[in-house]
Amino acid sequence: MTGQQTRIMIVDDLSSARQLLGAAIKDVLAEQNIVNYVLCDAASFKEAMVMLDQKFDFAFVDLHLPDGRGWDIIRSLKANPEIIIAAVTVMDDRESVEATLAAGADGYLIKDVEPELLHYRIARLMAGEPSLSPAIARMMLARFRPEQDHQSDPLTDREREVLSLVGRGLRAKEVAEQLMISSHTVRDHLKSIYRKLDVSSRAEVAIEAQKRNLT
Amino acid sequence: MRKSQKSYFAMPGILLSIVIFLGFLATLSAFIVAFSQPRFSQQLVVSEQGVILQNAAGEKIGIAPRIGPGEVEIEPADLTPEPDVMERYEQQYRFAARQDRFADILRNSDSVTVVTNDAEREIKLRPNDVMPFEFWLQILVGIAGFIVSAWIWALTPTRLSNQLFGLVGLCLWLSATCAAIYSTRWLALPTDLFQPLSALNALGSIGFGIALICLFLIYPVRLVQNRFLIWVAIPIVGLYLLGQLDLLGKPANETPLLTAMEMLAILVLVVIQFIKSRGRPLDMAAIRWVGVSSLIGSGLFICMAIIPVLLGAEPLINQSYAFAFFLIVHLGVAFGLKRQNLFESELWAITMFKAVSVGLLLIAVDVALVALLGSLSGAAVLTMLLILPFFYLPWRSMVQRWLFQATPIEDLLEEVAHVALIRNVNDRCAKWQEILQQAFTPLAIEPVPVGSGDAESVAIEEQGIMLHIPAAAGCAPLALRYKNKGTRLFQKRDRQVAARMIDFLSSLKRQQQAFADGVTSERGRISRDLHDDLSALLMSGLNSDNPDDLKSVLRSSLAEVRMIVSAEVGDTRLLADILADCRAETADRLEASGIALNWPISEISGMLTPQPQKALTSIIREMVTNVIKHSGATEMQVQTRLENGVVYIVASDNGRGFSAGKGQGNGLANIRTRLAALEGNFDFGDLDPKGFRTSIALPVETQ
Repeated sequence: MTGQQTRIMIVDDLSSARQLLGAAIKDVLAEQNIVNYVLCDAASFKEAMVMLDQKFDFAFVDLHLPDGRGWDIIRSLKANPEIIIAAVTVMDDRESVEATLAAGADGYLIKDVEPELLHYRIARLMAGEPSLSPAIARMMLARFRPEQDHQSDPLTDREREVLSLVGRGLRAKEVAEQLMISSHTVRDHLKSIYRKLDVSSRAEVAIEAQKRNLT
Repeated sequence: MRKSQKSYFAMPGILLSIVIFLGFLATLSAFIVAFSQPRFSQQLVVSEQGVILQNAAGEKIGIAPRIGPGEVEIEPADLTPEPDVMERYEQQYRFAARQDRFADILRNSDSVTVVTNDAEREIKLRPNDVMPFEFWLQILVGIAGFIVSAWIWALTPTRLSNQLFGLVGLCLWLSATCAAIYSTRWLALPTDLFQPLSALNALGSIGFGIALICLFLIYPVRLVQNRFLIWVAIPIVGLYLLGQLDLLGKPANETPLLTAMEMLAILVLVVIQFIKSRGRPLDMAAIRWVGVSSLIGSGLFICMAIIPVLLGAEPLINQSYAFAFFLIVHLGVAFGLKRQNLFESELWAITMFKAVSVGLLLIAVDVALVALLGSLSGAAVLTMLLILPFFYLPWRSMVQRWLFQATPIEDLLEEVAHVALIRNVNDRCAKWQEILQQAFTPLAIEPVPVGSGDAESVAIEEQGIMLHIPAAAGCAPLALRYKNKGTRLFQKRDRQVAARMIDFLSSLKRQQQAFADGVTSERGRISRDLHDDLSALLMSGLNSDNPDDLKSVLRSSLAEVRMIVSAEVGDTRLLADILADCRAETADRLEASGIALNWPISEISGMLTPQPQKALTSIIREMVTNVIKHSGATEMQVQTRLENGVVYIVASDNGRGFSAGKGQGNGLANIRTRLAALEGNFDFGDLDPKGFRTSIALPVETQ
């Protein structure tokens, strides 16, 4: 990563939010000794869409833009499978979370958390670790209820165990200890689960999101 | 069973159809009688030279025609259309005898001897079955008057005024149809046919007068009691019978005098009705239409046809044409009905009449087509069979649909759904009525007066004539009368269909209402939450000068906004879920600060309502903040347990402890206040040898 320039995109309509986020990201980059980077700001949905032809390594996208929906940007950015995307919001309502994950986001940041927590989460995210919110885990368990027919059950037993432990507030490392597997395996499980949510509910969530936007 | 059959015939449409059908049947039998008489294309005409014979083109062939083996000369008197106008009974007897003789001759002979240019010539008579114009005119007058009267009668068959008007039409038909047969005869009819026809014609004329007199005695303003009406009829009928026995002195004292007197009585009554109905607009309208048309019709008839006869002169107008005057009466009434509320008819009277007419027309066209098919050659039949499906049948089914087929319910449910969405109650009810109209095509839809038979469910009443629609979606209960334009009774199926529509409408309306209520209550919740929680938080920020406190206030405020928006505020949630969320957040925050967390997961049941949910979350957050900011600890321990409906949370660290920590006081005081408000407990203290402990106890809902 040292030889190449790291390109980061920040989409938010509030300049203060962009500054806050930008400062936190710079801190994280400084901590990781990355100096060859460029931060690109976009203040609106349109600006972001214009920048889509450029290649980015990381993107932080505000979900509620005045002229469009963040998850549409996320979906377009995900055309590049290498990119790591965090949805940024002050809202963590269930529909936003689902729509975001379904659009392919890797993580989820609440803007107003304590500074050290924001820093920590950005670092985790840029390291490629999937989000570990108990609320999201519980939501996914509820969505993927076990089927009678074992064949068509979208989740494996192990994935279910991981979700259930995360849902009770355990961290990846603790889950790994509990299940006597490595933390990496836990992360792989989580990524696999998110992909399944993506496939199963993308259309459904898009429709739902559109409806909510209309009303 | 008897009752329901009776009421089936009480459907005005059915009643009218049957009566009109009978009328046509009777007219048809009159045709048969008329057409079975000998008739020839040459015409006998009375002129200044006496009786002459004309050919079909109206050119004179010869004069003084004689007929038959006895060479009986035809006199002008033999060609009189109406023997009633003769002066003396002797003339009538002679006329009748000669008619018989001529009729006998016509049956066996088909030639007539005439004088042409002083030479006698025998002319062969050519049979002919074309009826003269006068015949058709009288038939038309009869049937038209009959239909109009039948229509008025069928609207309310039990009311006396309608019955009397029906009788007027029946008498007109009888009089005109009988006269049509004999007044347009070719020279002669046998007496045994002529005399009954003449008697029936007289009966019709006199009955027409009696019915009109009785009508104007009670309508529009009642002048006499019903029982008095019989005393009007009896003397006139008595005179009629005396006339039939030739006991009245001379023929002119029979029908002409009687009808003239009747017409005079009618004129007087119409004038009285005019006077009596002043100041009563509805009655005035009725007498204007019925009265004036009667006045004109009867008046003209008397002036043109009767008075000259009474004065011993020839009628000014052929009696055949005079009948057209009577039609004025009926047409006047028909127009009056169309414009006004005559005979207390309803608006649907016209619709019903149209439906019956079209229905009968359909039958007539069908019969004509079948007859046509039977008489055509093979190739023509084939052509017809090809043409019919493309032209006639679609038209027919369209007309039939208009007549009888209500819109299928499947097509209407969507419409019903739209009704539920109409906000304005008047528009909604108007649309609802429109749909009921389409579904059942009743002749009348009326709101049910409040308090009368306010049944909660759909009900068939008045033996199937009325369908009661209960109040639905804010619309008043309705009474639908006379299904399918007055041709059907409401049946069980209709009740089910209506019930289905109402269920559908009501449930949609309920759902819409629930949605609206939901919006209102949600708005209420948001404003309550904003006021109770967010405003309180922001107010506490106003009182603080410490930037750290302010930041914390702002963060809490944003968190509050998040909760309000996500509507999680309103839900009672599992205690275990809340603790899981707190644990994850705590773990992240501590790890970011390089502090280890020891928080074993314990099975914990119970629920938390919104207030304690928020309190617990922010208390734990506060406790973690204290550890990160003030303790200098390397490890934090949290233990949770539930006992007797109270959750105990004990947090401890290995840091400096309270006595050494600075600036904790405010946070701890906050925690204490929050817990006190929720009937919880709070305790803290230093640990030995080092560290700090906070314990909280909070009641939860267990079940």
